[in-house]
Amino acid sequence: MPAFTVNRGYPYPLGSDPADVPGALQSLAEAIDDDVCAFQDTIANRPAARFVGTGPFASVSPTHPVNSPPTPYTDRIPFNVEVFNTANIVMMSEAVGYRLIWPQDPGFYFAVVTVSIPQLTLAATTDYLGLQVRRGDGTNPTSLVPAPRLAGTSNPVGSGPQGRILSLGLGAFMNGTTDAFSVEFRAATNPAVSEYVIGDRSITILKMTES
Amino acid sequence: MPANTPRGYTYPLYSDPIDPAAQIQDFAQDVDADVQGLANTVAAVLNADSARVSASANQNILVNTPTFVTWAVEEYDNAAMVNLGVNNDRITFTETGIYLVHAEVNFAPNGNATVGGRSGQIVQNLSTQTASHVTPGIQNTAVEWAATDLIQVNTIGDFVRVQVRHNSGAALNIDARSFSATKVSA
Repeated sequence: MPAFTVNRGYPYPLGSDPADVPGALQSLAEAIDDDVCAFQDTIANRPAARFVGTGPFASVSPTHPVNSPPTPYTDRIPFNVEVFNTANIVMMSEAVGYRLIWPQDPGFYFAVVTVSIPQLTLAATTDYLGLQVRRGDGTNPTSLVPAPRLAGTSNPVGSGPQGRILSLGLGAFMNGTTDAFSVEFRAATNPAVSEYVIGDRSITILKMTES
Repeated sequence: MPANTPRGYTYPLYSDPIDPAAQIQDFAQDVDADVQGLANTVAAVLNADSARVSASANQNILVNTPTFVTWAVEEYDNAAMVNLGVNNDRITFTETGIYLVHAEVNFAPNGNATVGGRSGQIVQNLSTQTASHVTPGIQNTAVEWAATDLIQVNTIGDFVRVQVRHNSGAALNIDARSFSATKVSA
């Protein structure tokens, strides 16, 4: 009856076991092999994920409460393609109405969001473009609240070219049960328009801690 | 007398007495301890030193006055990098290395006709400026300033702060804001 090492559980024979050196060495070698292979996987990759949204998306008038800044046009940005995902993060489907990126494991995450915003083709001037990342609730994906603000960036456009690329990075703890990244686009135009079309967008996430 | 590999794994020599069970056990335990040590090291790396602070209450920023942003809520800190009771304006590093730092601040509008710009910078220790930029203000709309940077920490006890400034025609407040650091390399 072999015994096992205290940390990794490798088998080794006891003096009272029948003498079977090849068998004992094979069992030990295979246990070490399995363990080192699994271990190698954890060394090679910090958990990470990237999701993109392709094609235009028309952000419509906001119906959910936001605190600051005031936002004439706000909506959660949809992502439709999982580029890679070793971090056990769920991209919630468009079918649920809102687009949450939901880490399934607790930890501190660093995320970078980038959104391409073409020049507005409607007869209006863009005064302001903004991007916010909020903490949505993955268990209640169609709810608009609560969604506390995690970070934001904005760009007063003024009289220059109206197209922009907005990028925003942030670090935050996500609890692995409800917390989900929610990306929101904001714009103000003069005169007001009914929708604002954005282009390709991405969110790239690194998992920085194991809890 | 058994010998050892460079990593310390024990193996018998031909001159040693034949005792397979004990020799295999010795070898297994050596590998076990070594791999567990590596696993502990990797776990430490995967648990990168990280901290995030935030605040939402107004902080008044006077005209043309560089002001360090203060923080009220310690949202996460796995490496004793934040002590708001001692210093409420900084993240202090407890290990050397390369850190990914983000900061963002919401400037509330003040309605002043002299709109001016809104600026901020991540400041390492007492003077070293890292990421910074200026964005135009808007008279009646909030402006969100954000920056991300990688910084090198050479000395335990180094710290980072966020400094903001504006040149509107009157003082204004910052409200929602956050600041984080996470270690990405030794």
